[in-house]
Amino acid sequence: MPQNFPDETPDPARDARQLELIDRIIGLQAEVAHLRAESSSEQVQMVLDEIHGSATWRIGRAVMSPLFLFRRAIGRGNGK
Amino acid sequence: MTDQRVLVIGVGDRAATDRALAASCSAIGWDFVVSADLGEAVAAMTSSSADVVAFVTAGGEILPPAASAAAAFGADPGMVAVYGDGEVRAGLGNETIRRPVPSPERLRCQYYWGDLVLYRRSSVVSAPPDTGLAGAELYDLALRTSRTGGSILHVDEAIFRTRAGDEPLDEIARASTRRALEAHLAATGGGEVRAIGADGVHDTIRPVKGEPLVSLIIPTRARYSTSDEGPVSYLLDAVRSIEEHSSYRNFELVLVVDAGAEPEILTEVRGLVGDRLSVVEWAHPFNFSGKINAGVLGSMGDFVLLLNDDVQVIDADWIERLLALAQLPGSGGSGALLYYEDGTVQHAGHAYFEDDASHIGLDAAPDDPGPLQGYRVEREVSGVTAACMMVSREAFFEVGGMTTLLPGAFNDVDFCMKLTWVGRTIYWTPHARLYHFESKSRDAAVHGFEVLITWGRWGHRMHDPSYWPYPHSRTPHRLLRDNW
Repeated sequence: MPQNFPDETPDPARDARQLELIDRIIGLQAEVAHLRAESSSEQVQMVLDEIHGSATWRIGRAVMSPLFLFRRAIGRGNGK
Repeated sequence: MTDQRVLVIGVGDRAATDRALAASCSAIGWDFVVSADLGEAVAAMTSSSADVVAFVTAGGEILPPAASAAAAFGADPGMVAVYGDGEVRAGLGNETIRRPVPSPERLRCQYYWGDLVLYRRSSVVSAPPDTGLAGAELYDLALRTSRTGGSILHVDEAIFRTRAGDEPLDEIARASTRRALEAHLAATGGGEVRAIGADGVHDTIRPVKGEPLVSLIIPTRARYSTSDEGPVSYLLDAVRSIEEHSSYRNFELVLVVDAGAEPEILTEVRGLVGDRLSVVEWAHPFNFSGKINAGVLGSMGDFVLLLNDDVQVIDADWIERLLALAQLPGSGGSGALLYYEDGTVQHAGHAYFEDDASHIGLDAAPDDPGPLQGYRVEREVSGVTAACMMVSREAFFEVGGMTTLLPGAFNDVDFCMKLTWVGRTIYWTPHARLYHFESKSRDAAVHGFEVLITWGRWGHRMHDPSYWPYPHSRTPHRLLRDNW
């Protein structure tokens, strides 16, 4: 079984949760971009504050950071 | 008007003998050099003091937006080439020819830049058109320019109006085109020129690198359906088709099955593919995304091929063609040409246009070339359907797989949006053809919450004419959404 995430032994249930967290983070970033495109900066800042204070954002950031560090370390990135 | 001095070079008999072309140059304040011979044109360009050189290969008129196209060279010192939309006279009016933004993979299949292309003169002087490539000099120049890393701009206004369509390539031009494309492929990661078309559509493909394991992920109920001929299993038919027709053999099959699957069907599938079969049980309410994620998590391949269970393979090398595009640097995956059971097109890529998401090519006849021959060429796309999509394991995990927030509709739209959001490029190929037995008349079961989530994330990107600047042939989603 391949490693789905770096530095971790395969665990489908945990990996599924981790996929969801990454999805939610990208989804939130997209929502912010969408709001920025549609709304005034004041409204966006309120939503941003709400998002940055959410558990999903904080947990997601914690999960994502080691991933990025690992990728940077082995120079894979996203192929660009 | 532009502050750039422009030298227009009419190449070939049609451009060189066109008085209206000369008049339109004069009207816009550009110098015009008539030259039926490209060697003479290169000499004129070299001795000129112009900033920009514009090659015209057909009779017609340069239109006023060309002036702003030339101005782009002054605004961006890194700009090396500019092309734009066009017009062709049709009956009493003019028909607009929309072109995509710079698309390197499409360019190796088709010279789609049009009859008027502007270059920074200093760039062309240092690497002038190769006069040894008779009939393909300017295609070769475009290919070489695309490899420089300089900026190339598409102007989404008509900059040139021509009176007639393209002339077919003669034998000499086809031989030159082959040489230019072979050199281009060799310089950009390899590939093969399989055929040169007189109509300007060239069958070139990228190579498969190595022989990586590909995991086919098929979410399925694994039950029989009723038909006029008695009970049928679409899954069994699909697996038989994959096993019997696929030339690529290093694949595994991962079925994600619901509780209540017919054991007999699974036994038959195992009989067909042996120990290359893995079964992942799905004991939750229906969620296509969740099933795909579970299948990928239970798979072994470096590449995953998301596949519906109601397909039938047409092309033996369908996996190779999808894999080659999924292996390109920065690839966000690749999609196939899908047909309905009656042979009309079901999918030639995703298009996001005027705040709506739909399939390119819906209902088109099998021999319909599409706008700008778009159904016949490998090309960059905004997205593809997850009914048949190859993507690297790395890319799948980078974007968190498919969102479980969208159990039924738009999960592939969201998936592709995420892949391009992180900077990846998605491709489509007409050389991986399958039937997809989805009912033409079936109403897509779209729930309001799925629309709200999808547009809540990506509403600002739901008009993206970059790679497919044409209206949808059907527009159900936006109409549905407006009713919620």
